[in-house]
Amino acid sequence: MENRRSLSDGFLRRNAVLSKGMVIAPIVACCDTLPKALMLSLVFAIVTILTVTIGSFYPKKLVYTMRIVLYAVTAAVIFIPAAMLCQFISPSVYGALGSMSVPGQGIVPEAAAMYLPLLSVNSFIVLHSELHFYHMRKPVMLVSLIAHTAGFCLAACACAAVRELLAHGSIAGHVVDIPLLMRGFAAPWGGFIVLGVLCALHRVIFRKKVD
Amino acid sequence: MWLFSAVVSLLTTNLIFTKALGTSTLLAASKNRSNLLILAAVMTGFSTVACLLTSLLFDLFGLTILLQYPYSFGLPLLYTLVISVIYVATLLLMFRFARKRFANYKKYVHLAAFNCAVMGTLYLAFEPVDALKELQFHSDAFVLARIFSDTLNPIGAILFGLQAGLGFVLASVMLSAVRERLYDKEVPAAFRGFPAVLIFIGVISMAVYAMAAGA
Repeated sequence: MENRRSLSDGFLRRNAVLSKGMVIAPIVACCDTLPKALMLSLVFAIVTILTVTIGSFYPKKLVYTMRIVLYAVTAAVIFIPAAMLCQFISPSVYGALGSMSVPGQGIVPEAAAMYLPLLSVNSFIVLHSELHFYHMRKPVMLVSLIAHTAGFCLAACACAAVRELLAHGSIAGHVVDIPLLMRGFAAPWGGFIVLGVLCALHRVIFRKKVD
Repeated sequence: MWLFSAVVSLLTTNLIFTKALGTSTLLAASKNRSNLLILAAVMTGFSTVACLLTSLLFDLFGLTILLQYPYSFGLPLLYTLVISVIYVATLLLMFRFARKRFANYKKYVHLAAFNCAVMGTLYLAFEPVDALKELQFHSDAFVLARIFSDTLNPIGAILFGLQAGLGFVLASVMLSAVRERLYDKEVPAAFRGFPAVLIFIGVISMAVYAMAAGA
């Protein structure tokens, strides 16, 4: 029962992106197509799940500051194989999203070049872990962590699908016949607006009370 | 006129409006106006010192190799270590010299240390190079603060960090000016608060893009 509630809370009802505004920058800046969102989600999942799980074994006797430093360093170390794996899976999507140095790909647009490494200091790791995850029993924590990560993926993919449709007239590369393309929605301002509307929609669907 | 130019420059290179860096931190702090401004000031300090320290590390220890493929995968680790040193040093200094205020202000240090804005500033300041490009540039491998300098230079690094931090301050001032309206009961319940803040930042960002295109 506890696990089921953790699942639904993290994935939908208390979605970290849509209801709390966490980890917004990568979604706003580079999730303008579905493949990019999926790649971002994959790296996010690997880095966050592994770091928070490993971090839960760090002694609580350490002072808060040192624990946070350890979480961040762990995430930065885990990022290295995660990034290599993603580059191996799809060099072109990876190059467009997070690498600055894919051989033979030319110069990657700088605005997108850094968002993947920035996931190693995401607020799930440096903030939410201490405030939320580490107050739970380990099995429940794992379920909640996976649910929250899936919630991030859902928000990233939803935002990317809407933006891809509006800006490029396609979904996951498949052309959709829409009468008007607004290419600006691929820019960060489009990401802010689409994400703002999705957050409002999330509130309406879950009838969330507003402060 | 120079003040106008400076504000325009801060807007068009603003990390929040042009690259969305630090948006989550801004949203977390936006519930309280004084929070927002103090946090912005602390983040300015963090980004400035982090840029300076990193430029010294690159310069003194020859770490520019990390800016080249495939070593660039290790950059987050280097930047995390730099930020960690500043984070711990700041807390120790605060504890030593401002113990009475330590309890009130430590939360700002916690929030300001590990976030996309500070880490992103470092990525922008010390831009890793493409493997092919590196062959042409050799030791001048990285482009530091296109605006100020294209060589490794502590002053350029300080200016870049300061500029990034001041951009965050400017965004905080703009947000704190309209914060009460965005949380007002006249705003439809679904949009009230942080969805409205996101759309507000989106509209400002759109204007900044138009201004930059015009310039």
